[in-house]
Amino acid sequence: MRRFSDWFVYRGEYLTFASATVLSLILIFSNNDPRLRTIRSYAFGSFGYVLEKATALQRYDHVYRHNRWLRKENARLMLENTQYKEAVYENERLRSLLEFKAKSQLELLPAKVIGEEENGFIHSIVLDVGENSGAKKNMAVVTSQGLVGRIYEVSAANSIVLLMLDRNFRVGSMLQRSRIAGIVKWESGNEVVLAQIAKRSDVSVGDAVITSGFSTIFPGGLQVGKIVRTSADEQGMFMTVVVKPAVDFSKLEEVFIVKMLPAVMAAGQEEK
Amino acid sequence: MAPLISAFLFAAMIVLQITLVPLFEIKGVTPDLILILVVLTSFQRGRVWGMLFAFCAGFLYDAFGTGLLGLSSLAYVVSAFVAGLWREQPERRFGAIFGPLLFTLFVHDFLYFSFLRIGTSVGFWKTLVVMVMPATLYSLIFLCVVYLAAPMMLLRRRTY
Repeated sequence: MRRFSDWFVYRGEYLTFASATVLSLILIFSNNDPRLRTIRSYAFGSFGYVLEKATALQRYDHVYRHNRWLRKENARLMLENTQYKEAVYENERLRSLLEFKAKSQLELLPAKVIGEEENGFIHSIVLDVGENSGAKKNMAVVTSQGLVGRIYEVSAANSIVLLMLDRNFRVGSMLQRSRIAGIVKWESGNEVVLAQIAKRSDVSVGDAVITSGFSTIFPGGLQVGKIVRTSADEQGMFMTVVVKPAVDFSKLEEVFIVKMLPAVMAAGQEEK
Repeated sequence: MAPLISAFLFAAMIVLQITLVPLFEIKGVTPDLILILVVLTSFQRGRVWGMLFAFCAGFLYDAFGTGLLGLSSLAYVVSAFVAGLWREQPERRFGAIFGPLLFTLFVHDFLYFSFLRIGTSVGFWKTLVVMVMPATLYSLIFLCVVYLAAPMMLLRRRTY
């Protein structure tokens, strides 16, 4: 018995190492386990509260600076508004002419970025709104420039957003001009690629890429970015279409959550 | 007392990591404060304590974000194990432990980014040159700052 305890003390470091490594690997390979997701949800919920308190001072300063910026922006928008009103009247007239059924407007929920995680492959932000304000998992997140990402996890008061520059992000998209559809995903750096575009497709540098609306998560028509280069290898069937995102992810301070339930979730709720 | 101190330090570091560290981002690379804390803990208090702390810290760090749950635990545990290897060396000058610390940070970043690279089209060398090495150097710079601010945090050996 004593020999065993001596051995255990002597080898304790290796046993701890082996146990911790095996446990970590088990965790890695059971990421989709609902129990782990529940633990994750609780952990994020409690952390969101701590983060909220920790960033309170930072936020007051931010609100002051933002208020100044908003006043300036307000003046600029008032001038622009008159031009847009004209455009709206024209739009309404054309819609009625074409007997177009007006689609319901997207309801937006403003949110402030209070945290960020970035390390090459993983790119996410933490928002100061959660379930209490109506945010739900998988809702799209946008700015006035275009698509930012989707809500990955939500707690009562906070949400984590998976950004377009994350390795796990995918969005069904299309070219605004030629209506060719593909899937936008991150490849490396600060650019994304529009995948699954056939080699002879009508694609030009500068073309705008928008969400296709075929996805169960993202509404159609959101700006994704612009094509910056294309290339095609001799053998393959598809071309590589590199897209520069419309949103500048290094300057994200305020975003909007699109309060549209993803189709799959909405269907689930109807069943209930 | 030690678990409480570690828990407090971890809470402070993770808040800093998510709120302040992004301000120091250079070309998508940020220093890893939790890794620095793990390395310091293992270096000061030994491998067993360091690895237990590393596992819990990694698990919580992943749970708070969007990363692969368990990956940070794995990478931190390996770093704590490696950092602990140098704990018993007699010479405790920073010059003597600089190399081992650099190696430990590199082991973490290499493991972490190599795992995340799986399933993407990012090449091995690109991962190594663009992500692993800059992240290692950046964390090392922060570790040097910790040393300059409080040398005994790095050089003192604690026992439990």
